[in-house]
Amino acid sequence: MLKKWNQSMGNEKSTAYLMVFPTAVIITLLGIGPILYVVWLSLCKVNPVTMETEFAGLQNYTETLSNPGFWQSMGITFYFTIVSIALQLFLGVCVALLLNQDFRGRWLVRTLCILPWAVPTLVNANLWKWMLNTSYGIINKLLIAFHIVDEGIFWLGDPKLTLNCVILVDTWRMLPMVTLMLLAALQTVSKSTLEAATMDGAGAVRRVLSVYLPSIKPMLLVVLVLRTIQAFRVFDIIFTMTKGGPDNGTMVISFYTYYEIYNYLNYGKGAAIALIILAAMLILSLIYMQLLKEKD
Amino acid sequence: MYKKKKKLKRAGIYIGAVILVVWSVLPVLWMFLSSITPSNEIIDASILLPKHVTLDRYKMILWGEQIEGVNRNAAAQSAVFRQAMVNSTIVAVVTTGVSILIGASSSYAFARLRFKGNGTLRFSALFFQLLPPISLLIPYYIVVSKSGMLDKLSTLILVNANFVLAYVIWVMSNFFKAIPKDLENAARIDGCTWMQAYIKVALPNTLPGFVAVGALAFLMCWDEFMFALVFAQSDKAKMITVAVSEFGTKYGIDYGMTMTAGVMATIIPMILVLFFQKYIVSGLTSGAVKE
Repeated sequence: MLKKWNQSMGNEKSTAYLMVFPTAVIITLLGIGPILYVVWLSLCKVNPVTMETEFAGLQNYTETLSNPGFWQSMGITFYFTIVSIALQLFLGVCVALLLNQDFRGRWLVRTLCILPWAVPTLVNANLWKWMLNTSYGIINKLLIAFHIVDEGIFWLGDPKLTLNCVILVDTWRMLPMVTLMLLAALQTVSKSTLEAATMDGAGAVRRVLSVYLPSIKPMLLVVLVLRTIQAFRVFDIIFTMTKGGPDNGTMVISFYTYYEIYNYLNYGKGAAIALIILAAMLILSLIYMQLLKEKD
Repeated sequence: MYKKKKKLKRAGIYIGAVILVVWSVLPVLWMFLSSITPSNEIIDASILLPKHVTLDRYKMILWGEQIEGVNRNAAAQSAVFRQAMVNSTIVAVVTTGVSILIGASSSYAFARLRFKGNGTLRFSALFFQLLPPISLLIPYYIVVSKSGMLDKLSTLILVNANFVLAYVIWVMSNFFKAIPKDLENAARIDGCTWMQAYIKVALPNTLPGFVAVGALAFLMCWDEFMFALVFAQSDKAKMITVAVSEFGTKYGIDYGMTMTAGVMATIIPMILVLFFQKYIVSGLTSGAVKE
C-alpha cells in the first residue's frame, strides 16, 4: 500500500495535481463561480429583498450605457487614473534618479521616503482630510500664517479641486512603491555603460534620456500596469474623503457601482456595471501586455 | 569650472533629498502631533503647533480609561476599535498563512511540473489579480447574506484569500523559476520524489521570497476596505479599516481620536515595511519582471 502511494507520489502528474488542487478549488468556488453568477445577474432584474431573479435580457446594459451619469463617472475614473499615474511615474523617475546618486545619508533618506507607503490607505485618507480641513487643517493654517491666502481654502468644496486633492493623496501614499520599483531597475544599469556614455560626452540630461530611461522601460511598463489596475478600482479614498462629491465630482466608477448596489439596491444593474468595468480592465491589460511583449 | 559644477550638483542633491524627506515625513508627524494635542487646541484656528501635550487619547484607546474632556462616545468607539485591531490581525495572519501554504505548492507545480491544464489554471489564478473586487461584491454579498455568514471573520478570510492567493502565485512561481534546475535534478537522481524535492530543495531556497510575499500579503489584508465595509458591520466583527474612521460626535468627526486610531493602525505596517524593506522590494519587482 505504502509502496504504491510512494510510487504515485513520484509521478510528476499526480504530484502536480495534488499541489494545485486547493488552488483549483478556491478559484472555482470564489472566482469562476461568482463571475458566472454575476453574468447571470447582469441579465436579470433582482428583487432586493427576496433576491429572486427575473430574466430581463440586455436591459441592464442598455440602461447603463445610455445613462450620462455612467459616462461622467467613467470620465472621472479615467482622469483620476491617467493624471495620478502620469504624476506618479514622473515623480517616481525623478526620486529614483535622486536616490540612485551617491550621497551621505542616502540610506536614511531612502528609509524615510518609504514611510507614506506604510500608512494604511484608510488612515491616509483620514489624515489628509484632516490636513485639508478648511478651518483647522494644517495646510490652511500654514498658508494663512505665511500670508499666502487670507482665508482658508475650501479644498474639498469644488469638484475639480477635490478630484485633484484626491489624486495628491493617492500620490503621497503610492509614490514610494513606484520609486522603489524604478530604483531597483535603475540599479541594474551597469557602471561601464554609464562610463562609456560619459566618455562619449553625454551630459547628465543625455545620460538620463539615452541610458537610464531605456534600461528601466520594462519596469516602467510593469509599474504602469500595476498602477492602472489599482487606480481604476480606487474606492477607499473616495469613500472616506468625499463620498463621490461634491456635485458628483469624484464619483469614480467603483463608487458609482457601490452606490447603485447599496443605495438603489439595484443588484442587476450593479452586476452589469461591474462587468463593463471588468471588460474595460481586460482591454487595457491586453494593450499593456502587447506593449510588454514587444519589449522582450 | 568642473569643480563648481560638481558643487552645484551636490547642492541640488541635498535640496532634493530635504524636500523628499519633508514631503514624506511631515504628514506622518502631523498625524502623531494631532493625536497628542489637547482637544481645545485642536479646534483652535490660531494655534499652529500644540502648546500642551496629552497622552489621554492613547490611554483611552488602549485601556478604555474614561478621560475628562474627550468626547463621550469615544470610550465605546475605542472598545470597538480595540476589537477591530484584534479582528484585523487575525484575518490578516490567517489569510496570509493559508494563501502561502496553498499558494506556494501550487506555484511550484506551475513553475516546474508538466501537467495538463497548467497554463489554463495558472492563467485563471492570475486573472483574479486583474479583477476589480467590486465585480465580485454582488455574488459574494448574496451568498454570504443568504447563508447567514455576515459579520464572521471566516467570511472575510475567505473573500480576501481569493485575491491574496492570486498575488502569492503571481510572485512565488517566479521565485521558483529562478532557482537553478540542477539543484532539484540532483535531488531527483538521489531518489527524491517531486514532493520531497519541493520540500527539501525548492522551499529552503526560496525562504527570502516567502518573507517578501508574506509581508506584502499581510499588508494587502490589513489595508482591505470594501469587503470589510460590506461583510463586517457589527461592532464585534469590524475591521480596523472601518473602525478607524468612526470616531466622532453627532456634530462631526473627532479628528484627535481619528488620528490616534490612525497612529495605532499604522504601527504594524510601519514595522513590517521598515524591517523587511529589502525583501519587500523583491516581492514587488520579481513578480513583475520575469514572465
